[in-house]
Amino acid sequence: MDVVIGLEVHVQLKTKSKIFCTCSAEYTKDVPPNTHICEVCTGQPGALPVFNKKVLEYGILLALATRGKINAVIRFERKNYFYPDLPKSYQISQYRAPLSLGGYIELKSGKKIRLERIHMEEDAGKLIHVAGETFIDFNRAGVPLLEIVTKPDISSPEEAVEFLMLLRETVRYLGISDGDMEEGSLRCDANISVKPEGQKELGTKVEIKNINSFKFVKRALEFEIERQTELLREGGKVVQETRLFNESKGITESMRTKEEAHDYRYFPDPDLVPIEINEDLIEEVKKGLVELPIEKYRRFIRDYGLTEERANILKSDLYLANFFEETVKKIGQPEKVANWLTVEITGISRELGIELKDSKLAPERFSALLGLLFEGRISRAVAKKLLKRIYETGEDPLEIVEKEGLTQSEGGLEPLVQKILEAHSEQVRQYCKGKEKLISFFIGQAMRETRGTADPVELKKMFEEKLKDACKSMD
Amino acid sequence: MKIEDFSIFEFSYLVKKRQIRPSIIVEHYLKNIEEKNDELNAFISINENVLDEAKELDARLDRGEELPVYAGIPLAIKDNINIDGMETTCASEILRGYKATYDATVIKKLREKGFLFIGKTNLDEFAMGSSTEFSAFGPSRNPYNPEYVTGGSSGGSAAAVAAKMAQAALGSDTGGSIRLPASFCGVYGLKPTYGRVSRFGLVAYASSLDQIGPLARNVEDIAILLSIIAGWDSKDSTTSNMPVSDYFEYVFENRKKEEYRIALPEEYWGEGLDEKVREPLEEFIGFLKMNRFKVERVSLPHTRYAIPAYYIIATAEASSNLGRFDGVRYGRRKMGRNFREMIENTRGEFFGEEVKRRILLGTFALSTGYYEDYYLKAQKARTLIINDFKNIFREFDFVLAPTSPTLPFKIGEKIDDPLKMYLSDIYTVSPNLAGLPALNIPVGTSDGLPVGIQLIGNYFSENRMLKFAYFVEKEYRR
Amino acid sequence: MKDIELVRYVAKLSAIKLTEEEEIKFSKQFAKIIEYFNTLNELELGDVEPVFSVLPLKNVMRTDSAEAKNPEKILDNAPDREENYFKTPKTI
Repeated sequence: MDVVIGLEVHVQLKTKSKIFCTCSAEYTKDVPPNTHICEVCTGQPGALPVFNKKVLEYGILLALATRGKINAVIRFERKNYFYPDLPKSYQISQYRAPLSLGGYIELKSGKKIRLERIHMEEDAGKLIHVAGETFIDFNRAGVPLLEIVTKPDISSPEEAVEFLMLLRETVRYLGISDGDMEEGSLRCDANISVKPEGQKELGTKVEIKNINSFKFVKRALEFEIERQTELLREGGKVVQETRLFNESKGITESMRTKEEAHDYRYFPDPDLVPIEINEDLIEEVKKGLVELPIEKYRRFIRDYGLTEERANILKSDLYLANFFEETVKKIGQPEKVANWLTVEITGISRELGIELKDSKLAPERFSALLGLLFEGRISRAVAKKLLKRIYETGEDPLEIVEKEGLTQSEGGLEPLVQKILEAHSEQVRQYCKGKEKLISFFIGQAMRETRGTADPVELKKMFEEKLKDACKSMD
Repeated sequence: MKIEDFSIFEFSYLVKKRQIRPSIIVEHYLKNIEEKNDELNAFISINENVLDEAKELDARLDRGEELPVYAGIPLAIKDNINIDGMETTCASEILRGYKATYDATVIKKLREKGFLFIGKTNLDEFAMGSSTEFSAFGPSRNPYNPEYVTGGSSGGSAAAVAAKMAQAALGSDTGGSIRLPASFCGVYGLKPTYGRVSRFGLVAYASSLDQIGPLARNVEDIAILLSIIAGWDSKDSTTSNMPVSDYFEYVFENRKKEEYRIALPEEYWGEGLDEKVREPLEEFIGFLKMNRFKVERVSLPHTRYAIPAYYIIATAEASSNLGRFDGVRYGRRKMGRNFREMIENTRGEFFGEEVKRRILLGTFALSTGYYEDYYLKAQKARTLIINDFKNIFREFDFVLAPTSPTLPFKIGEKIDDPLKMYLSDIYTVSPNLAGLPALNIPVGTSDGLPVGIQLIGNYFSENRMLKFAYFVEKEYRR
Repeated sequence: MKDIELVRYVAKLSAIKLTEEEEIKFSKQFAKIIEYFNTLNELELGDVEPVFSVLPLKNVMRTDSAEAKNPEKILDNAPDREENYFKTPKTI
């Protein structure tokens, strides 16, 4: 079966104020309900909208980043329907003259997922349903959104997830949104249909709503593909409908609402005037453009010889990617640096629950530390220990190493290993006779000598090698 | 001379010179309200604090304080304009008890100049009507004869001004709602250029047509009020940033007699104009000719499409603007088993018949399959109507037309025939569609009922219109 | 669509519950009013631009700054309120 998927993604913009009023756009759990509200965003009689320019700039930025064609004249229109979270009973959105048309996001495979359009609109309030009643909080009402609609170019759940990841990374790179699905600053509805392989005409599409994480995007689409495929195999028909993803059951369910007339009666909002987007404005906004995630990914592989996996992890977080490049600029060794960042730093960050960008670790300290390691002046174990410490304190690794005498002798551990084996020839003999447990004795000796600064794993490896040679010469 | 015969400017002078106390002015108007409002039903609510506010101004004068220039002069405000803390009902059951949470921009500006607000005036529910009969608070009655309507929708404001229950008033005009009642009640009423006055705080009926404007017994007061309420507003994206003239100064300081080129569009003066209205108006035209103004017949060929275009656009915008009255955040609520039932019950029960009719018509005009045939066509026809006027204003200063095709009609006469009622606006809707300023000038009476003429000017030509009106006010006696 | 069906349809879209008498009355009136609206069909409107705003205003925008608000007056008007929430009957 061929799978055809199109996405409608809502990205919430990180502005200070709402799209049409001067209320704070913050609405997180810490903000008490209905405090960031005013006559405009609660639809009081007589109130009028005034458009926030930042929203336009952010919208243009995303349109530029996705190579969309920005319309010269754009307008806002009213989308009319009744719902308790919609204070004016219409949403100010765009319809016939949206911000941009076309454009695309390129996947790692090189496949381009084309965009239908990008438009600006206002968010609705939040509803809480409790025992037959609905509670409404309008803090979110009027928070700016960009809606990104793709063409039906996506052909698997994996592609859908990759598209969303890239879109999220793009809006984060541009600094226009948190792009957080769990927090609702990135929301996704999916249209999906299946058809027999090679068939030209599209199958009946189903809209899936209420998908709140990347994991669920994949699961919801997989479930739906299976459901539709099964239906068709059994000679049944897919019904065009809207289905909700049920997180706990991992399935999509028909909304089964009574057939309510849907006719949004879009018309140009007479309270707002048209916006002309001229070249000057576009040039001004263009200054905010940055290298896109996919470009960075390709460059990291090409210029630094990183594996696809490493490059992918680094590009997924702009801060991490920049951290990587700054470190490499100081000490080279891109592969090793990438390894330390993607393995050790990721581990420490998870263990401490502190993200790299919130930690005390700066690229200067990090490269100084790795420098000590690469020069062999400290062991891997010391480096790891220090990294965790500096991550929390921001101390200078050179100072710590000197003050606390953590350097290992010139030439590394080898002379020490040699010395210990020479000093304990009896134990060496017993080891060679088969008493291999003695390896921990040797390691213990070495650890004592180095006051615990040496890496036991490294020591074990070295002792094993030396002993192997020693035993051979004994035979 | 009675207190009510003074103008705003004269009061300002007298108060400043301590020759009259604000409380005396307010008490006088309150007395008129007490005597006449029961019969005329011009006010929906009276500001109970207004006398205290005036006395506070007295006290400040006694302490030798400098007061704002128009301190203590009481205005009546149409009850679809928000005054913070006072009820705004829009003459609708659905808003009964609703307390406005902020001042409209016009109110804020007038307040800063010292004006007081004596009460909120009656209107057709949500300003939808031409007679002020469609009010949840009952019809207003014409001060000239209480059997007759005031015209609408700002009928309460027009009656309050005509019956001297306030110094002047604010109304709103979407398709004639200031000019028609001004004409029926024999007062001046101005609909400014679209975007000249902020709509922030005016409960929207049709956003692309609505304008707030003054109603008064003399041109001076209109000029002063317009000078104050006009201007760009950061809270209304559709206001113009064109500089505001000092209309008062333009009209009264510069004494030079101006020449006017006046167009009489044949579509406004043909069949359908009641002879009782025609007669005094033609007499007035004679006066203009005597003054050697250029007066010529012209044609505005798309006039016949103005009423259908207007009712399509106005109802379409209204259907969306009035969606917010759903019983969720404010206003009255009629319960139902769920949200959908609740809002359908609320809107079915508490909107009046005319409002429901217009919302349904507007919903129709915007719905799938009809948008292109009705809403879009109406907006295109509007372009043709605008072009008609643009052509005329290349050669003329003003267009002169009747304000109403008939004399004031009797209460109840047209209430059951919506189409007939809609045709009352036949001469007033075009300036709204084009966004042009238009002023009703009272020019006489027929059968004891007032007749007005409508002066339509080019965009932002209010200064010249008022100067013309002032000339008429001083020179024309029928 | 028959007149009465049209009235019922737009009443549903407008979320207005009509009585039977209203449905009948409106459908009669609408037939006449819509016929009158149809006079616009006499016009040749193919190339005519529709009006979006009567004044040549464009690009009216404000800078992105937030102000603290006083929500209490707004909450005070709620027909049904619990603490700081507006309340309605359930949506489903």
